[in-house]
Amino acid sequence: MAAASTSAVDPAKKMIMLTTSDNIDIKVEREVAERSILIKNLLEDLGSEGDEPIPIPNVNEAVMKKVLEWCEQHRKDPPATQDDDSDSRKKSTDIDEWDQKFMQVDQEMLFEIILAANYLDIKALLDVGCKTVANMIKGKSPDEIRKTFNIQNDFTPEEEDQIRRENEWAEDR
Amino acid sequence: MDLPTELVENIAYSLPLSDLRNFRLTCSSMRDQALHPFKDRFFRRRTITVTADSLKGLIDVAGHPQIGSALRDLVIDATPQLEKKYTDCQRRIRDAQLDDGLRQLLDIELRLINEDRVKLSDFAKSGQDRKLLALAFMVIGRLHSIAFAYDGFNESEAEDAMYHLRRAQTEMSRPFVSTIAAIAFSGLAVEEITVQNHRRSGFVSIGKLKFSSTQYSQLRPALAHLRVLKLDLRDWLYAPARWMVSVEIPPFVARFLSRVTELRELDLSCHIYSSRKEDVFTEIANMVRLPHLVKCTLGLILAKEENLLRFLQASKTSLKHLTLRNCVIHVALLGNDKIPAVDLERPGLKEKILSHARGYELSMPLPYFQYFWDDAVRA
Repeated sequence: MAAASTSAVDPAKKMIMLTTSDNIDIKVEREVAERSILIKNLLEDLGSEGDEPIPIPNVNEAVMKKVLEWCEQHRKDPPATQDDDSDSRKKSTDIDEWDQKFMQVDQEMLFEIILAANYLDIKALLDVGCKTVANMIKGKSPDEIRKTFNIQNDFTPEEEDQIRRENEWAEDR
Repeated sequence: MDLPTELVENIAYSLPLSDLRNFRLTCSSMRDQALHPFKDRFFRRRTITVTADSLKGLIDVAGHPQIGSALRDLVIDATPQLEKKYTDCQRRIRDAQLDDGLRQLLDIELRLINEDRVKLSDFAKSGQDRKLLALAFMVIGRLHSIAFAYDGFNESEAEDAMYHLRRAQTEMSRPFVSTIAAIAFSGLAVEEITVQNHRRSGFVSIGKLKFSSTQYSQLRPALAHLRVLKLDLRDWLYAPARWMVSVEIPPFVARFLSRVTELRELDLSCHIYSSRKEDVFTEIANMVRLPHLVKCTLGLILAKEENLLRFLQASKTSLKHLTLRNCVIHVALLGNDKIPAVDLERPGLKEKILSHARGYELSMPLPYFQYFWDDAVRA
């Protein structure tokens, strides 16, 4: 069997086509695209051929290319564990070097990547994105956070007092 | 920040508390979207002391429309912080005998600490602690666990171990009894009442618990949800005459256990080193039936063999794990010096106990009192 299959194209290396929201077709290796659980499931539902382009209506070309760049880098990563509640993962904001560099984009693109990762169901990328935002919040005062993310303060002084009181109640473990 | 709530939540889960506090202060949308992680991470467990401020804080939190419902586990820190401060200040005054200026300052500090001690004592004596606890429990309604914590004394503090142990006993008893009374009064549904494993230096006294019979009668319905009980009982006070009045026969432990019939797990250590009758297990065997008990750990227990077997008999169909740790199982106590005559390796005893439970583990038989201090002074 092993000898027979060498002549066929490795299914992981097979090229598939994605159509982005702005109607651009992007060719990509199946293994890379399958970092996205959404695409992986779509391909399985469509049958093994996958010759037809897969529409990705929520992601434009620029963002898709960026996302696929990440998928390419992480194509051999082990699949994400289902351990959703693991506190260690959530608390740690360590990001590996390549990912840190990858995330050095403007804020709009950063949010687009996070939204795309969420839509395409790429958990590891979503986590990296959220951790990057968390790192942008860390160590900043409320006012600095507002400036960073262009947030308008809509609190009355009374509401602020109430939040400060609730904040004091919080018990760190 | 224009992200869906689930993504804001994901980000909020990555933030340390100090940053999450600041994040909540940015705007109402962020505050609302970060509510779930804020609740989930920092409000499931709450540590309180039995003081007016702490209990009022608990009531505030429990009554909060969004946050209050998160509370699951309550830790009651029974460590006598004021007493620790007081003895520490006294020590510093002794050390400062040659420095008049410093000593005067320390005298003032000692006076202030003492004022707080008096306030705290009045707070407990007037029954305010029970009232506020009961009020808090009424607001809370349901809890998974209540755990008592008590930090041991560090080496410099432990100049007189016996003194500290007595203090540990009384200090832990008060918050414990207040809590149980408040549970009875409020009808709080709680599944576990335990002592924190790593902060387990406090004890509840066996005799000196002021509990009225009406409170006992309320206990059964209140504790109908209790599945796990971990408790360290001690009595090593040489009872002076004025205490004898409040000593209950049967003792608290038996009356209390007889009302927690739904218990699945019991971890009880019980040691008497005083003028009280030592064998409380007779009363336990007489009164307590735990037909659903699955896991039972008994430590530092002095029991007559027939009483222990009678106690285990009631759990025969359910019991799976039994651990006896530093226990003395005897046939009869000899004479007035109360030295148990028999050790645990008596032929046939192990088999008799084994017939009551599948998992069985027995510590080495120990001469009476040996290692008692190790166990008692766990700090």
